[in-house]
Amino acid sequence: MKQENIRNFSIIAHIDHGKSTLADRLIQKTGLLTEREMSAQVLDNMELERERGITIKAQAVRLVYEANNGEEYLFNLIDTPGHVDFNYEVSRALAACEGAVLIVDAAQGIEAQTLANVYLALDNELEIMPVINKIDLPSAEPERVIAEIEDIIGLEAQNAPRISAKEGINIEDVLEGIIKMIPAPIGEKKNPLKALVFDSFYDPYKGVIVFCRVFEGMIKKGTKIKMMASASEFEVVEVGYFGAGQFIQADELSAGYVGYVTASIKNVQDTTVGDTITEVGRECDKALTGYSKANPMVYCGIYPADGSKYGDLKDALDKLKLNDAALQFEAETSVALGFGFRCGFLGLLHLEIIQERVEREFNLDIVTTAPSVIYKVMKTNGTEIMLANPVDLPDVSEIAYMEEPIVKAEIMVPKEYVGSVMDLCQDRRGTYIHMDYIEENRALLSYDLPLNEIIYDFFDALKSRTRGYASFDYHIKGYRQSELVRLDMLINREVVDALSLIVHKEKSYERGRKICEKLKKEIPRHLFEIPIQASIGNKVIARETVKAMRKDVLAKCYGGDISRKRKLLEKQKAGKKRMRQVGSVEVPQQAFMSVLKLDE
Amino acid sequence: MNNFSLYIHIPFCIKKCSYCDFLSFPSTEKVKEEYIDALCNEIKTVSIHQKAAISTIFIGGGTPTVLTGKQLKRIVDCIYEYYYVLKDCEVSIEVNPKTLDDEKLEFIKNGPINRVSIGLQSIFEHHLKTLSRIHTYKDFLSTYNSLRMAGICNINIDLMFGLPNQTFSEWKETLETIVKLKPEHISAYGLIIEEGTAFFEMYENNELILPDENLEREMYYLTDDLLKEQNILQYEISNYSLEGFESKHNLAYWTDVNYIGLGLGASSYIYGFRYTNTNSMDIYLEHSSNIEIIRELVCKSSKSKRMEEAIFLGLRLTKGIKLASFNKAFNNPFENIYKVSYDKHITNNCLEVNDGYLRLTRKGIDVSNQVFSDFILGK
Repeated sequence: MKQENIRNFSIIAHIDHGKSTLADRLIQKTGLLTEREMSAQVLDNMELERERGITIKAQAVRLVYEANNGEEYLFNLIDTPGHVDFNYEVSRALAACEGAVLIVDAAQGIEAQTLANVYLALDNELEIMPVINKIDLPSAEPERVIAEIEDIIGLEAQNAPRISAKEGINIEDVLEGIIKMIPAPIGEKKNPLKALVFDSFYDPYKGVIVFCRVFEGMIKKGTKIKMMASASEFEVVEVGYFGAGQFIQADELSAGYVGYVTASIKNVQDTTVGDTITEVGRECDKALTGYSKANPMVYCGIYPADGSKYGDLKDALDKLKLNDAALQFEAETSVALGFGFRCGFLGLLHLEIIQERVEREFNLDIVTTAPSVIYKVMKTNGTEIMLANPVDLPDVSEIAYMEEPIVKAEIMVPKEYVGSVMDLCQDRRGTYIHMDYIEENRALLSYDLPLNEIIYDFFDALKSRTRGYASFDYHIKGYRQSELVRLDMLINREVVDALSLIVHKEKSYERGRKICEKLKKEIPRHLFEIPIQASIGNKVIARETVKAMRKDVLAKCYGGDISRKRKLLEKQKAGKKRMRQVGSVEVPQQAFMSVLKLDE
Repeated sequence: MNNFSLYIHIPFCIKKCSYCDFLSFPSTEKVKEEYIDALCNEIKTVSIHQKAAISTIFIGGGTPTVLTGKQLKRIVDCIYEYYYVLKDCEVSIEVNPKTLDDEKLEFIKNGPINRVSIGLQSIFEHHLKTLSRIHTYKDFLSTYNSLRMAGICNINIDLMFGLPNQTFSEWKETLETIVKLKPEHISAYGLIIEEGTAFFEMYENNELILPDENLEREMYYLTDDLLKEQNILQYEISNYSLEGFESKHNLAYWTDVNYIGLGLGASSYIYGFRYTNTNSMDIYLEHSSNIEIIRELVCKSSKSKRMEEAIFLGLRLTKGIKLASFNKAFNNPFENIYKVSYDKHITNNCLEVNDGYLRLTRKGIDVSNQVFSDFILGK
């Protein structure tokens, strides 16, 4: 295929604006899959992705389109994750393209992630082609949305295709638009190899499959390649491109092409997203820009519900890590929960996804402790600790001061909710930066917020206060000194390490009180009274009591119906088995997680 | 031939009580007659299937005395025709006040019945009304007296505490009044709100004011204390009697005795296997002579199940479980199998060992389900 007939592009959109649906339509329209083979959201492979309707990992597909001008074009569509946790992956996927199709919902208009994605695309110097989706909705106002795009983003949008991906309306306009608007790749096959890794995943038979975009040179079977960031070297076993849901082998991938490479790579860490592939002995002058390691922002402990399943949990995390370079974990021990792992995630959604995948794909019951961000602890002796587990906080006397991560948050919200969103941000220790009215009825609020205030339930709280109309995006800004303390929870006078939290001093009383109340509800009555206390240092700041059980007796077993009584006792026994023994107290597993949801 | 107990279920009553979740309902004369035919067929079939010497018989319900004396006699005659009934067999029947006429009394007087259990529940009219009982206290007295005159010298009176709006002094007065009648046996049950009852619905709608747990337990303790003074001694969580008048049938349930349950929904325990009859009257009436159809195996015998049951049934008895017998029966020392649970409940004062018997303390009785469930091996 001639290079000028190749188009490499991504689709970017705010969540739920119809990205995956449009991708499906393009695949269908170009005849890659017949109706029968189509299942909704072809690109979303993982079961979890389909259920949640979100794209977790980037995916790619090659389409062949016969345009109205009679020529055949080769489209490489690179799907991108739609959530802020995976911004880095979005950015790398975009870097593999020349252009981006920007979908905007004809009813919702521009949202926070629309803007965030546009900025990412502009950072990568992409040509942006706006598309107005969901014109079939009764509430659709394409003209208003077009005006919005022109005013807010500054993109010419009068000719933007007005489509309904769901109903298959005007899909051809998108395909023709891509040919006109998005430039063909440049680059020379004869140059030294320079290719960008934009995704990778582990296949049990072929090893790591690297998804890449070739910018310069050519790659084929037998090429000796080098990963420039990790400096590891491999010999290529196979190259090819992406059908829908399958890999199709090819002879070579040359400049301008998107495809995959396998090279008996055992470890996905050797092929991190953003790295540059070059040829051993004929290296390109310098690596592609923009590579950075995806660092976990949120940590939590993950423990097997059944202590004997520790090995299984380790296997599960090892396997997940094969496909997810951003997931980090190391073994840790908790007095309350036994052997488990301290795991690092990009964000809370990433955490939830891993948690669900462990439970679903590996069939393991797990207990997750409260997520924590990474704090900087400056000790009086001049050393600095990066603290990922509250339990490791040094004694107060050894701490000079502490710092916590701060994010820059952008919240887009209808006018009538501005007040309550500001209250929420204030309540979460936010610092107001500015506010713009992007149109008469909608404001863009900008706040600096401590990350530890948003990792729990900020998004839920935002949704409930704005009836779902607010959209939200954030970026890590840096660290800021803060008055932080460790809040410990005591059950029956024993500190439960898995429940310790780092909180802002001013919030410690309220948090302590709420957790006590929550634990009181979660912990069943025992044969003795159980005090539940929150403490800072040795000072108790809140207390609740679970009263002793007075009565649990069957007066009668009628007519010798023992099996009914047996069922009751077996059920009780099964309930006890799902508990965690903390001293002499049996604590239900959900108690460890319930402390996260204090806003209910 | 091994000794067996027989339970005969009569699933009929005049009106459903508010607390009752037993298999019982009002019915027509026609169905009752058909039921007795079916019951006799079942007795006949099962007796061929399972040879047994009968040491106790209990005719329960429902209200067995909604049947006529003639109908009751047919059932008893059938049992005696097909089973070998031991000479000293305890033969009990449940009676509700206001259902006993001369004809039925005649049957009780002249037949093999030697123990009667009367459902009274409370001496107070307002409680009887709340419970939807069909009788007054006066009705009870006349039933009681006529049974005494008929020569029944082993009578149980069923009472309930923890009733809606019941006070401590009302319960005390109930007990004091009843002991004056000198019954041989008293069953005192703490009210349990069971799903599917009228009380359950009222409870869910916050229409029932029940004594709080502490008061309910005080009532329970009072029962033991007060009856003890009259030499009516507790022998099971809810049962009290004069010495020698413990219900043999009741004890059979707790002490690993085989029993055959006959009739709709009845439960059997035969050499470690537990069976339950169908709850469907239509199926029962049509197929009662085919136990393959009407009876379901609900619990297979296994060593661990028998151990669990030896504990959670045996500990219902006031004297407890003889540890030496347990060790011998299961060829394994109790302390080995149950070390953790045993230590836990000895330490927290729910269990105690006395004279080689392991038994529940008062505190242990209060939370006995919690104690028992720790002894479920879950195999």
